[in-house]
Amino acid sequence: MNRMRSALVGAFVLVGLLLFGTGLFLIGDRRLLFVEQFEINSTFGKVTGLEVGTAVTVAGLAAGEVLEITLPSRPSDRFHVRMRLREDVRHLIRADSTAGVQTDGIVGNAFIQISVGTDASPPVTAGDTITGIDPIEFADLIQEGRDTFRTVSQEIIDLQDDVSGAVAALTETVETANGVIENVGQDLETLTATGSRIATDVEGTIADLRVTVNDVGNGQGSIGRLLTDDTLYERLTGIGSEAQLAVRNLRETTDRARAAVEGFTGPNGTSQQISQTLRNTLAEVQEVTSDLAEGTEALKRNFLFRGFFRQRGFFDLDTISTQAYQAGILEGDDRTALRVWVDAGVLFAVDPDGVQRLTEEGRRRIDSVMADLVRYPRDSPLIVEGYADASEGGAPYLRSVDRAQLVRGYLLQRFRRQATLTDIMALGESAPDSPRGDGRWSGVALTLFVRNDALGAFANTSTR
Amino acid sequence: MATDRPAVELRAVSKSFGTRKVLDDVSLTIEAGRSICILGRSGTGKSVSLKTIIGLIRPDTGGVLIEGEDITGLSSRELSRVRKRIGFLFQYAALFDSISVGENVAFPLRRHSDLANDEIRSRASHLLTQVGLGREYDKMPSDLSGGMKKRAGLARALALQPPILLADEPSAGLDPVTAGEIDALLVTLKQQSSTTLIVVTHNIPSARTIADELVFLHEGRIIAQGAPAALDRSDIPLVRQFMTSEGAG
Amino acid sequence: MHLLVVVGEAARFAGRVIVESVRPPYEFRETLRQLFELGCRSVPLIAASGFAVGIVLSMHTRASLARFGAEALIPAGLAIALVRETGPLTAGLLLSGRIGAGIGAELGAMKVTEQIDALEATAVDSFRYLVVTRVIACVIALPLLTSLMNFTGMFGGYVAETSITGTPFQAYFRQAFTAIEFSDLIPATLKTMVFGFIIASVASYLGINTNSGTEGVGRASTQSVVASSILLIAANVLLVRIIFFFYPV
Repeated sequence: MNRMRSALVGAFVLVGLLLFGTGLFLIGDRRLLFVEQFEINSTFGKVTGLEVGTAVTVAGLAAGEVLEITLPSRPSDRFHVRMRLREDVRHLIRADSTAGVQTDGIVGNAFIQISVGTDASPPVTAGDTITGIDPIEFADLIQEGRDTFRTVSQEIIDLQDDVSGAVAALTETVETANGVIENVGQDLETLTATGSRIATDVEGTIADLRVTVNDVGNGQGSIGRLLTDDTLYERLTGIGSEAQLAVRNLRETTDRARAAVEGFTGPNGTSQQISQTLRNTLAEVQEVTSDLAEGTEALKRNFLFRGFFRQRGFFDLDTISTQAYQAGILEGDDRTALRVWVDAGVLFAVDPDGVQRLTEEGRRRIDSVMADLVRYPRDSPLIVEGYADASEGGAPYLRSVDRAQLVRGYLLQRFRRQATLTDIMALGESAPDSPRGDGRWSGVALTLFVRNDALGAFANTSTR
Repeated sequence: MATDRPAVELRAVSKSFGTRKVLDDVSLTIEAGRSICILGRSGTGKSVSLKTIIGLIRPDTGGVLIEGEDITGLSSRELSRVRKRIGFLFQYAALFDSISVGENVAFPLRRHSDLANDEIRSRASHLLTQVGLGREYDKMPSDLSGGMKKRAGLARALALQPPILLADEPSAGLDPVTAGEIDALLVTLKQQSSTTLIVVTHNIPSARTIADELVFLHEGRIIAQGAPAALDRSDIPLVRQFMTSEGAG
Repeated sequence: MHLLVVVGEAARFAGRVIVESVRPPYEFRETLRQLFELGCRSVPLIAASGFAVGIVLSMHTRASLARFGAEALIPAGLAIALVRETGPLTAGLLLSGRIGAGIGAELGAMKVTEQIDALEATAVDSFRYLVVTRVIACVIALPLLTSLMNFTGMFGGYVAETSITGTPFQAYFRQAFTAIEFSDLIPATLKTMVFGFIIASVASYLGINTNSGTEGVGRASTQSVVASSILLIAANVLLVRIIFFFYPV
């Protein structure tokens, strides 16, 4: 065994070990074993596709993996998921960041996507728990979709009656008018033609909708295509609010049509006046019918999803005006708003530098309010309404935003409310139902929108 | 060293391979410093008796005593200790063909002595010179002729200066001149040191040169034993036949 | 019956290898020499084969994945195939050819030319000196050679891939490692230690038990390759099963 051979053996062993070691290093590098890391937690109602080692991304960047999934101790609890992330992304994850389970395409691997927070929120520290958003499950969506479409069908039938009634009234009026005034004959002809065309169109649209509803109800149709889309949530919420708008427009248009026709059939007035009124009315009717056509078209595209989102509690408050909100648009026919007013004096204190914060007593107060509200289903939307009096100085609206946000933040953290079901509505000083009686309020109101069926059951329980 | 004890003693040794009895109740005592030749026809257990002495073959019954110590029940480690005292020249030399001739000779020294490399080399070289292969140190065994291999094998067997040397057919397959050289080496060895020699051969002239005493094996048994001159007068036909032959390889 | 005896003997042989390999004193120098003979000298074979296998695998992976428009997965697919199974098994089979035949022939030749007896006669434990050293060298060399095969395989894949798409070296290797976990690399590489044990033990067993001359040497060599290949493939099934038990996928 000479030196040369010994050296060759040495080289052989070293190179072999080096190659093996390089492999290990590359894997370890990918799994971030060699960079500084921290741990963070989140909770989920279900953990579809999650397992130890599942990738975690922060705003799409591969940033870590799932370390541990702990079972809930009882059915109403949530799964606790511990994750390990690279330290250098920590400053992007804020207290209001959320973690969602997502899927790489329709058959791909599950992964956890953590959203970057807002600049104003403090960065998380190791061991913090951020809000978890449950994954949408294919089967659930279809099931819930079915229920929704039943409701939708009913609404379509109701709407059909309204619209048919309006169109019938319109046609009848026009025919009556025909007998009264000759010189508007041509307009009338046009109008009659338009009226019957609209009637056919509306009926056609509604028939189409029925077919679509049946198709989707049976698991066919276009919803499947939607599910594969990454931006499902955003698109669906968008469509939902559009649909709401469309229905509202359609109803308004119908009402205007009625009003227009009623105005014409009024008993008094000279021929000249009648003629002028009729022209005005006809112009208005024409405008209305075109609106009606437009509304129907919008409805055709979006109507399907309205009830679905209302039932699930997804809504986009950005698209709702404060007036519409205060008029009770979120309540609809099937929900009741349970509102608890809390005064600012109890809740907030102002720091010397003018920043508001939640007081210890305020927290206790919210805890006791929530103690009453937790009896209702967790998936009921909760809106923190912020109010501020002009007498407090500064801009009431901004102050009300701050207040609502402080309380919401506390709710998310303390009660693990789902972020998507907990939102704020800054209402400035306008509070028509305020217990103060002067239509104003300073503080917040916690408003839980509870489904009427759930409300009844619980109300009965509580009164016993 | 216990000089009063015989160097090698076989006590009623029997060995069978399958149904064939190769050694049948063989008893033989060889005093230290004596040299004996074991003679006999091919396949009569001569080689087996040598391998039994060094423990390569364990007898079925009987005992093998080396300098008074029975080796039949020894562990391999204890056996190693005994074997260091015995040199063995194999029939075809059995040089390790993966190392050079010199390293073959140096091998026992490297294994069993604490000598420095230079010292081992010079000793191996000296041993090779003694057997007339002084210039062949770095050759590989495959480059040597049969006679040279045997001489190298002898040098290796002697490397540890064993008090007992076993040689299996040292002159078989060699031309008479070379065979004579090997015999001469053995005689020199016997004269210069008091090595106990046990040589298996069927070459009677060699045996006469080397041995103090001859042992005849036939079908696993010792049929005659004694000094060459005594055996010349043996009344066993086989022995007489052997003794009168010129016994080429 | 004969088969049972052989299996039983071989199992005892393997058991003895394990026991002897952990018991001092160690044949360090000889192990090193075997590591050179069995390990270093297999490097060109393994490197060249790995390279070729890598190119071929890459072409196949490309053909399959391109059908689904999944070209981006080629490096990862190739790496997984290589690291998990192709690398270890191909290296094992190639080496059972080279090393198995080598050991079988070498030990067989040593047996029939009495070199093994000569070792024993020199007070060397031939089992420890010849068998244990080879088994240890093999157990060490196999994972190292497998790593080499994995690397040259991936390098072959890289060459094939870059000639088509011009993928840069770093990007290729980074992509290749996106799909490999520790549980892919470590057990698959370490299981080749078992391959090494099988190859060296089987070949040594057959070599040492060679009996009938030169013809027997050839047979020992051939049988070594056949037996160790079959055992290796069978053991692989078992090992993969065990690995899946501990690292379910």
